[in-house]
This record gives sequence, C-alpha cells and structure tokens, in this order.
Amino acid sequence: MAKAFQPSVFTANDLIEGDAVYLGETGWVRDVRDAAVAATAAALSALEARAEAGIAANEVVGIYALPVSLEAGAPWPVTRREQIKASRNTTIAVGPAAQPARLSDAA
Amino acid sequence: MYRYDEFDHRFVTERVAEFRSQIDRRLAGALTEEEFKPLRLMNGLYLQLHAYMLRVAIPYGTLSGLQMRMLAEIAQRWDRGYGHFTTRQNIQFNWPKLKDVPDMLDALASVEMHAIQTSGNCIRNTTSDPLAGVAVDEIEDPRVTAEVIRQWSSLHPEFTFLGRKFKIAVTGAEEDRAAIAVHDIGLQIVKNVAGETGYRVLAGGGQGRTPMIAKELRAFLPKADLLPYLTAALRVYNLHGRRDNKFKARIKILVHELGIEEYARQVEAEFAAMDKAAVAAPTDEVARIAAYFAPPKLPDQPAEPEAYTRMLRTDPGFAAWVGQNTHAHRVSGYRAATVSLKPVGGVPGDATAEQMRVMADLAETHSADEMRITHEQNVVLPHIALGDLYTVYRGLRAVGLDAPNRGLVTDIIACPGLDYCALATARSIPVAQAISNRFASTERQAEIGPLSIKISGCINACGHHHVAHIGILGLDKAGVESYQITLGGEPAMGPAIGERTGPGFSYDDVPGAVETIVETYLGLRESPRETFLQAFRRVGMEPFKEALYAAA
Repeated sequence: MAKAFQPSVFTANDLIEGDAVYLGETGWVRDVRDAAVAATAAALSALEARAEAGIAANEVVGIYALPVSLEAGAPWPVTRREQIKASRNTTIAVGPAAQPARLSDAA
Repeated sequence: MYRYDEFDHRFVTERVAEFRSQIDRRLAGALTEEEFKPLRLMNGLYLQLHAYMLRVAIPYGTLSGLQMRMLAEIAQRWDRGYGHFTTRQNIQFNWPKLKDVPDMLDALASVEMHAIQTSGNCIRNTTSDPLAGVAVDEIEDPRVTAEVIRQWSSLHPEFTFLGRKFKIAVTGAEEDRAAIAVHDIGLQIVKNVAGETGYRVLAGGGQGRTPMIAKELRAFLPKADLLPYLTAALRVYNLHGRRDNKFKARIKILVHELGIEEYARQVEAEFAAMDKAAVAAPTDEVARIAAYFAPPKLPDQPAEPEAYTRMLRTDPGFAAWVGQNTHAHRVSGYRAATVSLKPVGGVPGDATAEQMRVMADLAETHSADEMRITHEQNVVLPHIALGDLYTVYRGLRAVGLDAPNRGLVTDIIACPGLDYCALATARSIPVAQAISNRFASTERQAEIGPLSIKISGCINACGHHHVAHIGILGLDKAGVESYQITLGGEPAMGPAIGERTGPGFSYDDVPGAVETIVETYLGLRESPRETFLQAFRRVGMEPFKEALYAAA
C-alpha cells in the first residue's frame, strides 16, 4: 500500500535577513501557520515551482519541503528541528535580554 | 602578542573590500547562491537555522583588550549583544544580517582580526595551549609556531581547496592542553637527546563520525624543517585523500587506510625530494615573529602578599575560585586564571558584550593586556599578580563570571546544537543547562572532582563528545531527539575515544542518566582521590551499564 501523503509546506531562509520564511498563498511569510499547504503530490510540485521562483527572484535561499500537522487548524511542523526553525528563536533564553521560543503551536 | 605588519594590514583590508563587492553582487543578483556560497564560507559566513552566522578567527586563542572590546562592540551593534566562544578557540556571532557583514569585517580589521579560513576545505585556525608563555612545564611558547603556520597557510595556493578541512594544534608543554591527538596534525614541542628543540609530529587524529586518535608520524622534527615537513604531509593527503565521499575525506581516514607506516614513508619521500629552503620559514622572519611573543615584563611581586593570603582565609568564595580556576605561573608572585563561561544553568561559551568589556578591562589593568580563549570554551587571564587576584575575582563576580568550576562537572562543553545549527540533529545547550542545574552545588561538584561532560548536537562532534569522560551525542530519531552516552573518552592524558553505554536516552532523561553515572562512580571509587576517569579505566563499562539499564 502506498504511504499516505503527508501535508507539506515549503520553507527557505530570507536572502538578506537569513531568517526562516515559508511560502504563503501570495508570497513568502514569516509565520509557518500562514504557509500554503500542499495536500497532494501534485500540489507540492506546484508549490516547489513557486519556491524555485523565489530563488530565481533573489528573495530566498535553501528551499525545501517539510511535513506539517494540521491538528491545530493551521500548519505546524512535526519534527523537532522544524519546530525550532518555525519558532524563529532558540529554545532557551540567550544573550542579555532574549526570550526563548515556544515549541508548541499554541504560542 | 603578534601585531600586523604592512602586508598583513593590506591583505586583510583588501579581502574585506573583495567580499563587500561579492555581497553587493549577490544582493544585486549578479551572483547566484551556488556561486556565492563558497565565497561566503571562505570568509567565515554560514547560513544557520534562524540567521547567518559569522565565525571570527582568534589565532591560537590569543586576544588583547582592544580586540575583546571590539568583539563586544560588534555583538552590540550588529548582533544581539552576545557572542559564543567555540571549541576551536574562535567566536561566533549568531544573528548578523548579510548586508552588515562587510561592516563587521571592517571593524574586525581595525583591530587586526578577520574571519578568513574559518570555514571551507582549507587549513583552519591553528589552536594552541591557553597557558602558552605561562606554564611551568613549557619548553617554548607554541604560539610562535602557530603564527608561522597561520602566515604560511593563509591563502596557501596549494592547500586552499583540500579534500576536506584541516586542523592543526600545537603545544609547547609536557601536559597537553591543546588536545593535539584529536587534530589532523598535532605538534608537540620537545627536546631530543642532544638537547635540541624540535617537534614531535602526530597525524590522523579527529572526531566527527569516525573518531581517531592521532598516530606518531615523526618522533623528532628539527624546528627549521617545520614548513617543508607540513607541506609534505599536506601534499600526500591532498594527492591521496578521498574526494568521492565527504565522510571519508579527512586525513584520519587516509592514515587509517594506508597505515601510519606507509603514510609516513610517503611523507618522508616527498620531504626528501623537496627543495626545503624554498619552503622553510626564513630565520629572520621566525625571529621577528618570536619577538612578539617575548614574555611580558611583569613587575616583581611578593610571592605571598599579605592581603591575598588574608582574603583567601576570609572569603571562602574567593578561596574556592583560586583553588579551582587559577594556575601556576612561571613568574613568582603571579598566577593565570580561568574565567569560566559556564555559570550554573548558563549557555556554555556565551559571553555578553558587557562581560566581554569587563574581561577586556581586567586584562588591560591586571593581565598584561592579554586573554586566551580555551578549547573548553572558557577565557584565561594569563598574567595576574597575586596581589591583584582578589580585585580580578570581584570584577568577574560583578558580571557573573566567577563560577569556581574549571574542570568540574558543570564545566560542560556544548556545541550550539539545534538551537542554532542547520546541521544539528538535536539540542545541546538546554541539555547542558539541565545537567549544570542538577549539579549546581559547589560542594557536590568538589566532592565529584575532575569530570568532563561534552555534548554534541550531531555526529560532526563539534562538542568533542568522543573525548569526554561523559560524552553526549544528540541524534534525530524520526523527528524526535535521542541522546547516546559514551564514557571514558579523554583528549590528552592517555587520549581515548569514549565507549557507548548502550541504547540512547530521551531529551528529558539525559540529566537523570548522567546523575546515575556520577552516583555509580561515587559508589565504586576506591577513594576521593580516584577520579572518574581512573575509576572507569579500572572497572570498565559494566557497573555503569548495569546502573543505567538494569531497571529497564
């Protein structure tokens, strides 16, 4: 039996800022919960083509797809690595005045 | 300390201008990321999980007050107010913007620093003994050799595109504080039977996914032959090291596959055929470099100043710090001090801009304007008069840098891990913090005695877990962090690679597992004088394994 398709979104890093970005419906967004979700392999290919256009347009670097859960009503990564990337910060307080990230989607 | 000459200044300034132009072209779209990536890496600029990361070279870990102050300025102006000192004696800034990097590099160049060759498949920053020029067991200051290597290896046309990165470490003392056995090439300054000074040369050490202890390539190499011999060693590696598989491309794999005898035969053949005079460092240039490392003129000081001995008696915190964090100095009336960047529950190796400025002030006023970054992610103030030690201690204490834990269970090495690093498979820093909090009591740390815990967030082993008494390796198991524990590793005193305890532990279970290991050690040691490593070597893995897994 074929493995069920896992809903996925596309991520990258912003060329100038270097921070995590996600491909939304109309452009790159900072919040993974605003990312466009591909529910089928065909939809993922379409997202990939748009993500590659972001590279060509010199907006982002390092595109790749990642699986997400939709349990909370919006996409949230399923692996620890991608949860940390999506949280846009370290998971511990660092530096003189920083706040740690939250790894749940209820931030 | 070494000072740039006209050539050095021009070299670094021109390099910054070149990289500025490359960044401009990247931002304008004239360079693709594929074209730009190798250029930025050669200038120490990575792209991590949340941001770019700039790795700045601190040659052999030596810094002046002015330089440390500039690192503080950079942290505050272009980053988030702190920096991370690494196991390579460098510093990393975790949040720069691409457009700001040329200005950061200009700021570094103004204090004779740069980020060249802190990445890429080239010869990286040559590391050394943080007690260079201080240690009583030292034959010769290793930084002279390290600086000669730095100058020779900077943009070396033959060795800029090696099969893989190449790391050299140098020690000038009997006790190895530079972990030379886990470097691609390790150099130990020694004397031969005739009383001449030269090098014992090790090759093929390294960590990563295939950890290896280096083997002896030459028992004695005359000093004048240093660069020709290194050239021969690198040339054989460059010719025969693998390029088909990144994971088998380091010199350790070549030495392992050829055998040290065959590798040595090829190196000696290359060395014999070489025009040595054309490669060797000119004697007058070596003398010019050596002059920069002449011992500072330290004023005469009493061997036991009354105020110092009184404070030792009356301030237990100071006495604990002196006992654990200071080191014998070759000049009577002085000690070197380790500034621990491992406050209980802190981020190993991190320092805020304010802390950097305090260390710079103290170095300028009380330590002949010198600091050293250690591969254990601490800072050494090398030349403190005993009469000034209390002032230094109070200054450090005011900014939370007074932890009396050098070499103890909370002096944990940790790589940045998954909190920052794009290569990481698990977090390191919060694991270190949880362990540190668990062993917070100064009395308990003293009872446990010398014990190194080192944590890597992936198989690349930047946290040196293979050579830890208790090593922790974070891995990814189907999207979830899992940690392997190794015991009995050691970088220097009979170097050894740690042995795995067995199945891994979850993120939450690691501190408890470490506690079980420590309690097991305390229960089986023959006396409080038997260290963890000695006890492990005596009893082996079994008692620890049983304690860790028996209940499962």
